[in-house]
Parts: sequence; structure tokens; C-alpha cells
Amino acid sequence: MPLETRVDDRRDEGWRRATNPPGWGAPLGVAVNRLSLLGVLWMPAATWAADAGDTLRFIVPRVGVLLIVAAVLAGVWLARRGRTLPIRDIPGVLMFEEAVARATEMGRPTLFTGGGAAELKFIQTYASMPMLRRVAELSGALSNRLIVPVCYPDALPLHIAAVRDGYADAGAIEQFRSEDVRYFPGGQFFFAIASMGWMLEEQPAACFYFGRWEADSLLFAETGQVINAMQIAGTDQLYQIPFFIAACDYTLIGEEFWAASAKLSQDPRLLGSLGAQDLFKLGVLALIVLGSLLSVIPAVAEWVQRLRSAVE
Amino acid sequence: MRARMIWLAVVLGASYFIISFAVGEDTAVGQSLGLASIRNVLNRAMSIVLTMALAIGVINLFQAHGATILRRRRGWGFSLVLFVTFFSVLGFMVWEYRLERAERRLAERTQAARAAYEAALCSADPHERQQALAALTPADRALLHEYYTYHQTYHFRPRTFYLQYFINPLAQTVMALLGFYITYAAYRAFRLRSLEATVMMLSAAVMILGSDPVGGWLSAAFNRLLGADPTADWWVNLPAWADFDNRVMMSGMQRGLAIGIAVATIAAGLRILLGLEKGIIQVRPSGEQT
Repeated sequence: MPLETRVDDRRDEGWRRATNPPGWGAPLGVAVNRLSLLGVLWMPAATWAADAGDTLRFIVPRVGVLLIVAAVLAGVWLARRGRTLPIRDIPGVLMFEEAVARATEMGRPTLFTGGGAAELKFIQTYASMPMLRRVAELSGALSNRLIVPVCYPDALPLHIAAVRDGYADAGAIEQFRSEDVRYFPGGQFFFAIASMGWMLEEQPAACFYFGRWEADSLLFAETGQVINAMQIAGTDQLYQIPFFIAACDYTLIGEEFWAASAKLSQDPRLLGSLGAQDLFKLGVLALIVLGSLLSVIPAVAEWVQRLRSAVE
Repeated sequence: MRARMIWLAVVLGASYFIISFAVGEDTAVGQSLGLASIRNVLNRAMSIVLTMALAIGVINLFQAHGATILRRRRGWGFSLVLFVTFFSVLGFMVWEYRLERAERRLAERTQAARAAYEAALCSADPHERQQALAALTPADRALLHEYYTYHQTYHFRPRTFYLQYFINPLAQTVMALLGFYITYAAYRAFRLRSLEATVMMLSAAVMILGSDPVGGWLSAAFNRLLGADPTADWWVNLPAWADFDNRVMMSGMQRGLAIGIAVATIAAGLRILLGLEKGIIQVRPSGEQT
């Protein structure tokens, strides 16, 4: 079937269903689709959206992303003009230097890893690179050895570059040893076992776990406990956070992981973007509170119910 | 210059995903922009990059373990095991590839005969079916015999053997370690060191007791002890408390975290695209890479 025919069919189907959509959102669906068909606002919605629910599902996330992007850009712009919101300190981030210094004093290396899920396709891998670079910079400045196990070959060049740049930032590029950024193949658990072996062999005194962690999180954190390492972890994976809290000295919970690079760099533009994020979340919080209040106020709840019944 | 080129590649690659998200690949606009074909091109480019990265990974591995063996460092025997395993598995995979190629050729050679046989079997009329089966030539019958005999006979599959008897048991062994580690971590977490640890311990105790029959027995025993009316609501009800903790407290906390993480993820992606994050792509005003 030619491409144009399929598109036309879909558009017709979308129009037919949009003009007679099921459920209480019919008027909204019709209005949005008509606007879209006029080419005024959002043309793809006309072909994709089949009813009001689908239309909202199509539009709301995109509008949300646009709002977040606008908020972040505004935050960066304001920061450039010297206006930033105060951002609280994150204890784990403050301890970076102390952890590397402790390892140096003990004459033992430092370890940094993103775990067995640090694939290049995950944004957490990229987000952990500023932390790795900072740890490498501290290691270079304090003449400490940094070892970095990597699970996926595609992420290996990224890790090597971050470590090398970190040493270069400290003016100690001669301390960089490419064999200290080591690739352990075989997938998550084999990577974990190989890294645990390396940890037991090298006995790092400071361990940093940042990235998209999965089931191997506790294997690393417990091994770090066994060798009495000071451990700092950060992940946005909800199910791994308790393991890190139980086994590590400091844990960056959820979005703290994303804020760590800004706090480490103290770059006002990054801090400005954090402030914008917080403002956006305040807006979301206000919406949640408003929605909760509306749903529990009897008069409003009754009115919404009546409206639904009338439409249905 | 190099940094700018990297940044440009990232921005161009990311542009596809942003446009694809904004307009949708299957929509009229998405189809007119040819997003599906762009995705195919990106996938192919990604495959090439991944293959090159794999080569880098293997080189890194060989460098590290080769140096360990050559310099007789501690644990050089394990490095030797790595090389032996590497070449053994490579041999297994080549063996598997040759078997698969032979199977493919057999399937191609017998394709016409199998099609005729299956068409005959699909005939609804028994008389026609018999006629169609009788029409099969002796050469077709020989090919069919060869094909079905091959598939009814056991053949050693190196890849299956390797996965089933080496990789899976080893992975399960490592996974089993988690049980011990969880117990040990829980013991450490539940020590009453601070107010937060105490709250966590109490919450965990309610959750553990309320989620198994012991919680019900204990609740009943407490209520009898306190003289509560057995037909009325229990004063102590560990299963209900655990349920409340799980459904209300936990879900509220998780949703709060999820909202924050979602917003932060988008913002972080934007910061990376703008080249603001140090450590990934950052271009100084002078243009050099940091």
C-alpha cells in the first residue's frame, strides 16, 4: 500500500473517531483535533490522536518537556546574569575529597565504577562522567591511584577519556595509566565478580558507585564493607537505593545523583538549572495538592461526577 | 575543533530522538520527514561504533592480562585462564557457526521438496492428499528423509552447551550470593545507631512481621492480652500496618522520587546537549576540549 494512502486512511480514521470519541472528554478531543487539522497548533495530533484521551496523552508529555526545557534555559540565563537560587549542600558530594584523601593517607587506591548496567545507551552513564572526572582530578592532585572497572566496551573510551581529563585537570597527566581503566566482559554478574576480585586484590580505601545500578549494587557495596572502604554511591534506580543506604557511608538519593555534577563543579549555570528544576517541581507539587483538594472537597467532587454523567 | 565535532555529532544524533519524540515516527509529519529511515541509518552507524568499541575492549583486556602474564604479576594464572577461556569460547562459537551454516544449506536444498510435502499435507480432501503425496519424486523423498532425519537426531550444540552448563550455573551462583549479602546488609542497617536507623528498623520490623503469618498470630495474641473485643477492629494489627506502609507511605515516597528523577533526567539531558556538563563534552570559549 502506498505511503500516502496509509497516511490518509489514518488521518480519516483519526478524524472519524475524533468527531465521535467515546467518554467524557469528547468536546475537548474534537476541539483539539479540529485545531490540529487546521494546522494551527499540532498537525501530527490530527492523525495520531483518536480520542480525547489519546490527544491528551500525546500533548501533555510534550508540553511538560517543553516547560522543563524552558525552565532550565531560564535558570541558566538568569545564572549568567548572576541570579541563582540557593541550592543545599549534598553530604555525599562534600565527602569526595575526604574519601580520596583518606585513600591516599592509607596508601591504597580509589575505585570508581558505574556497575554492570553502565551501558552507553543509558544517560546515567553520561551523567556519572563528571563525577568520575572529579574523582580522577582529586586522585591526580593527591597522587592517588584510581582504578575503574568497566562492564561494556562501548563505555570504555568514555571512561578512559574522563579519567585522563581528570588527571589533566590536576596537572598530573603522567599519573594516568590506561590499564587502570579495565574492561571486564561477560555481563552484569560476571563483571561484578571480576570487579569484586579486583577490589579484594587492590583493597581500595575509597569506593565511588555512580550510575544506573541494578542487582549488582549490593555485591559491590558489601565487598567495599569487607575491605573497610569509605563508600559513596549515587543512583536514580529506586530499588537499588535501599541497598546503597544500608551498605554505603553516603548515598545520593534519586535526583541528588543528577545534581551532583553541578554541585561538584559549582558552575553557576548548572546551579541555575538546578534551581529551575526545583521551581518546576514546586509547580508540580502545587498541582498535586490542588488535585488532591479538589478530589476531597465534596461539592467539587460531586460537580465533577455530575459533569461526567452528563457527558457520558 | 575535535570537541566541536563531537558536540555536533551528539547534537545531530540527539535531534533525531527529540524530533521523533515530538512528532512521532508513525505520524504524517514523521513519515514525510523519513524518521524511520533515519533511525535505520543511525542503527547501522551505532552497530559500526559498537563493533569498533568491542575491538577496543578486547585490546584493553589483552593488554591488561597480557602484561600480567608477561611480568609474572600476582594472579597471573587467572590471566592465563582468561586467554584459555577466550580462545575456547571463540572455538565454540566458530563450531556453532559452521553447524548453523550447514543447517541453513540443508534447509535451502530441501526447501522445494518441503514446500511440496507441506502443500500436500494441507490438502483438505484425503483423496487429493494421497495423490499429491504419491506425486512426490524419489529425489524429493530422499531430501525430505535427509531433512527430517537430521532434525529428529540429537546434535551437540556448542553454544547451548556453553550457555547451559557454564554461563547459567555461574550466573546463578553469583545471584545466590545476593541472598547472603542482603541479610548481612539488613543486619547492619537495623542496628540502632541513630533516630533515622531506629525509624527504619521499626518500619522494616512492621513490614517483615506484617507480611507473613507471624504478624497475624502476634496481633491476635496482643489483642487477647489487651482484652480487645475479638469481633471489633484489632488494636494491634500488624498486617494492616504493613499494608498501609506499603501502599500509602512507600508509594507516596516512590512517586515523589520518581517525579524528581524524571524532571532531573530531562534537565541533565539538556545540560549535556548544551555542553554545560564538565567531563562529557565541554567546549571552552577558545574552542579547546576540556
